[in-house]
Amino acid sequence: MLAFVIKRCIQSVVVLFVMSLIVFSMINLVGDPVDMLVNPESLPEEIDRVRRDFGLDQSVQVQYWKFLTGAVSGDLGNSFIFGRPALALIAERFPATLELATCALILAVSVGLPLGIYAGLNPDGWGARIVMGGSVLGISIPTFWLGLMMIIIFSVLLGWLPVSGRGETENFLGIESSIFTVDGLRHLVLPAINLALFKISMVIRLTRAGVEEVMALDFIKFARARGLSSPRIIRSHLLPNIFIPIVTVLAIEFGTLIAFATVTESVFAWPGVGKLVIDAIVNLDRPIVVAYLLFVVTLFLVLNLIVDIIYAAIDPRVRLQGDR
Amino acid sequence: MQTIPIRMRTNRKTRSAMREKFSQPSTVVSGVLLFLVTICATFAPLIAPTNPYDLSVVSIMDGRLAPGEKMFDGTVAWLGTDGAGRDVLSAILFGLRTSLIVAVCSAVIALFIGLLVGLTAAFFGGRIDSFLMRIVDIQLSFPAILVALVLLALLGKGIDKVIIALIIVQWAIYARTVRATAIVERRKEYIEAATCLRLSSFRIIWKHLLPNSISPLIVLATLQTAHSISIEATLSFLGVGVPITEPSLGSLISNGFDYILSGAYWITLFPGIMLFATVAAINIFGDRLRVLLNPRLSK
Amino acid sequence: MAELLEIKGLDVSFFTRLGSICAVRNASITVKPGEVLGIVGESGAGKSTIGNAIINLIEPPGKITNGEILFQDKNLRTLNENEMLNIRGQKIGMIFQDPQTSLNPVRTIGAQLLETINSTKELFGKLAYQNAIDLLKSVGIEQPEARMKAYPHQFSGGMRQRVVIALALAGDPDLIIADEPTTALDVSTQAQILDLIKALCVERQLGVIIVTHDIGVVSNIADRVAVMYGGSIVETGGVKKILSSPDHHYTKSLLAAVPRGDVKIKRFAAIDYIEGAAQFHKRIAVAEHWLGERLTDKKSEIAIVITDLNKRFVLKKALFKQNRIYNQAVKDVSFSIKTGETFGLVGESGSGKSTVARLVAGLLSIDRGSVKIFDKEIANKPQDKQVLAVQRELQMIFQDPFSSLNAKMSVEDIITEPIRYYKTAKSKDELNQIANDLLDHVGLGKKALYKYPHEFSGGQRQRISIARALAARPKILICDEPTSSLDVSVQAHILNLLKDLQEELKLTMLFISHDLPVIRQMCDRVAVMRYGSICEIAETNDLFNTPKNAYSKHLLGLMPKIHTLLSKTI
Repeated sequence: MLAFVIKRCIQSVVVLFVMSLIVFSMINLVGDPVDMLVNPESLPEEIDRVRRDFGLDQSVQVQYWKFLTGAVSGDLGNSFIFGRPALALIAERFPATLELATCALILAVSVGLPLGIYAGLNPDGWGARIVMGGSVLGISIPTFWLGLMMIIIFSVLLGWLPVSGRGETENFLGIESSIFTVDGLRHLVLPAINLALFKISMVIRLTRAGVEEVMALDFIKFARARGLSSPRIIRSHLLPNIFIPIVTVLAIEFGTLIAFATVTESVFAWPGVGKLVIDAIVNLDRPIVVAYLLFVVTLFLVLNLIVDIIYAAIDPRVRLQGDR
Repeated sequence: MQTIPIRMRTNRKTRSAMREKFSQPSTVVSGVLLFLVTICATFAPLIAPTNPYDLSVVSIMDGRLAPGEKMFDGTVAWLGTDGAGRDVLSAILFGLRTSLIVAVCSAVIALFIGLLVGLTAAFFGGRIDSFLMRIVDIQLSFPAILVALVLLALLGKGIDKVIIALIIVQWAIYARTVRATAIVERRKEYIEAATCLRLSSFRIIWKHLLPNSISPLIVLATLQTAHSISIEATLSFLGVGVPITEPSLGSLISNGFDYILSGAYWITLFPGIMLFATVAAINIFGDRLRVLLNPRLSK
Repeated sequence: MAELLEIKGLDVSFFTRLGSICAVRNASITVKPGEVLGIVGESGAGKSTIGNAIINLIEPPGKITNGEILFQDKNLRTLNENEMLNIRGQKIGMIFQDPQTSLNPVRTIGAQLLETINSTKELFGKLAYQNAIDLLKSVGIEQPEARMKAYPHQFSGGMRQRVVIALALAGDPDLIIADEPTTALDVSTQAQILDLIKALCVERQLGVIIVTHDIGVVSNIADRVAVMYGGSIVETGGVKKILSSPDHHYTKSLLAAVPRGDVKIKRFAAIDYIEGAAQFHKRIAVAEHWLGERLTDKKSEIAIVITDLNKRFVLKKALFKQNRIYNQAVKDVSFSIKTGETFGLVGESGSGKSTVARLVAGLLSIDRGSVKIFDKEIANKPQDKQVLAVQRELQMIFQDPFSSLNAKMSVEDIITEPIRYYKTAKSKDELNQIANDLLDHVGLGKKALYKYPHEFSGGQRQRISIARALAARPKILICDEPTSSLDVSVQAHILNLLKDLQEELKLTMLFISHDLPVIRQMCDRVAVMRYGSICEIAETNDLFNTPKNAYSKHLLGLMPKIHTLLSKTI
């Protein structure tokens, strides 16, 4: 197990390095950030000064080397717009995104899983048809448009819930979150549902496919033939077999939720990293974009590692490579 | 030998089952919708009441007309007009065209690349396979929307750029699917038989491996097209995809975003419904296709 | 003694949109305690359906339409689903074909045993645990305490089937229904499992129904036999009576089709009872035909010479060579095959016999050693023109008729591909003529030309495979278990066809099989393989009459002795 983790960590560092190289070289091909930083009417001396201040007068290689040495010590440069360390800005905004993604994931699992199991066990019933029909619509509906419609209906027309923002937060057991205040919850409801809807549909479909596949296997038939009752077969033979793939998928999906949060955050003006990076892309705020990318790449590499470890832990058939 | 009559019977049974599946209401509705959408998109310039991107026709005086109101030149804006006075219905038809072109182009090219990579990996195996699949794995460990977002941040706006981004996002999915199917097929004995006949590698891949690996790909391509329509709209909405001057469903919705608080709901509502209906129709159709092409059901 | 189970006039139908298909028609059987009833029949005969009908586990759209199932004087058909739960497991146990898929892969066998004991015997805690240990002991699993914590994938196939039997016995049933319990197992394991079932049957006074396609299994274990054909039971009786003097014509044909292990006969007896089996053979005169054009080519006395052949597969990859784990599939194998001879390779699964075939055919790369075909070294020279030319004269027939044909090509395309690719026909007309003749010759007829593989049965597909191989005009034919997935009656036809072809075309054959009687009927010389090496090479008659190697003796000892029972009838 340890050998496997070490091997994967080395691999991850290589991937990170390659990513930083690709991102850094490509980002230098587009636009001159100085144009964004200074007033177009400034004097050439002023432009040069800014260029020097941000180290943009040096060659790309030198810039990359400086960036790399900085990155190793946790310094990914200062935002052009905010004038503050990019990593600190991301760290500041990340809890809001994490909160949103976590709520969406919990929603997706708690709604999607039971519905999926239900639909899988009664494939020909009307209930299952409605669930499956709903899930097709759920994966088809564009998240951002749904967000807009939710705002129009629940905030503008009905006036039940606030339009945008995060609302009050409160510190509880060291976690600063809006789920501990009524106002915060009111702000959270729409974005969380909005973000979760696609995943709910996905979980339903995955679960149903898993249930149908497992129920057709011989060991279920054998369990019935030795007189086990249906609830017992579902509990001890069906569920363990469908949970394994679903748990691993969910860990990965958590990552995609964080990525997809950029859309929801933009619609609901949720102050998370997603909104930060969209603004940075529009404003050519290079350090933020690079920092965000490396942050996300790291996050995904860690998530993938966790998935493999979970997989080995819950599936007795899997032995990790490098594991003796 | 005596299994023949039974086998024939199952055969006929599958065929009639196929007919039944094709005639299900959801299939019919989605199929008809898909057909209409394609027609509308192809002939948008002929069908649309006005050309919303012809600046000599568009007048700011028609701005934010509610659905059904008459525009300055007398044409009825059935779905209202947007802030700049463009007819929403016409804009939707033109936007649909852009969205479909982007999705279909990127799907076809990505499919081709994926097919090439996947078949190569599956047929030759060994190092070529592990190298190609490692790239695919890394690419696929990042969500499509994120990769597309970053690429467009680097490439800049424009229809061509969106197509490029969507190809880069999608090829790996095709490659992995093709490889997964092809590697199962490759181990089958008809490939060994073809090898025994000493046919060329190219012929074995082209005549034997490809035709047997393609049906899951058809389903995937359908669902991916829906997905890329969605991604393109999302990117355009976020302001990094198709520029606002070009008609696309995403940019139309984004355009209406500014007006939702002032009650001009139609600017976002109708393009959104069109987008939703198109994506849903393709998805439902793809789902049906998956059932029909499922090898477990056809055997 | 009172009957344990009595089935009277059972009908089972499968309802589809196009009407119903009768899978079982008017079937009646009885089983006494302590008795093994064998239900034997070929695929599609409806034998498994009877087993499933007894415990009411027929897959929809199947339905019992008529008849009575009296078990301990209770009609099972009148019970509801809840009452059936008390019958399944507690009164009637079931064993399925494939132990690999019968067990839940993600739970320990202990957990699966305990839950079954909990629900069938209502024993819990220590008592249940002790009971589970006793069960595992009784089916011959050593160190049961340690094995309770193991997962199914940590057992071998035979051990897994023992666990399945323990699970079926967990509720102390009075009747066991075993559906092809040994089909997925090796010969040696097969015998052990059958012995175990027989022993349990006697010891616990169980009634046992064994559903099988294998007459060898029936002859080994059954007390009485019911023969099924086309959904009906055509004949029932004591095992000796059925095997030595069957009354029904179908049983006679079936028994005649079973390859004999005791003596070599020239051809398999004609099996005319089975529908569609009476093939119309419009055979062609090979000598004047395109097929036989190159028969007179000069060639050497020895067709294949193999020396010190080695092949290993990487089981576990690793960066450093010393960390890799290999499976030595073929180890220092040497033999030679004379031109026109049929050479057999026999061994259990995993003995490396198929790997040897693939190495000779050039489908796998050779690690070490040499393979010479007609004096031409072919080891690892894939691009050499001369090597390719020699290799084209060697074609292969594969085991699985369902995957050995390209499903997306018509039979015409499949058969003519080698001719078109190598342009061995002079014109389009000649090409068509050759395709027609080939199909006639293998007994399919021209109508098959425009169909696709899925429209054919297993035996017919195997004929198409043979026609495809012939289209390359081979001098050597490698047959890798060509009939092991076919019914015996079909097998007899295919083997007869192969014999005819070899005679007409003077083919050299490398014939691979796990089935000793088949080897005896087909081969001139035989090599016995085990763990990748050859144990013994001998003339077929010598091997069967006086085996020298201990393993050969062991294998021959496992061969079913049915023909000693029925030798008088033939």
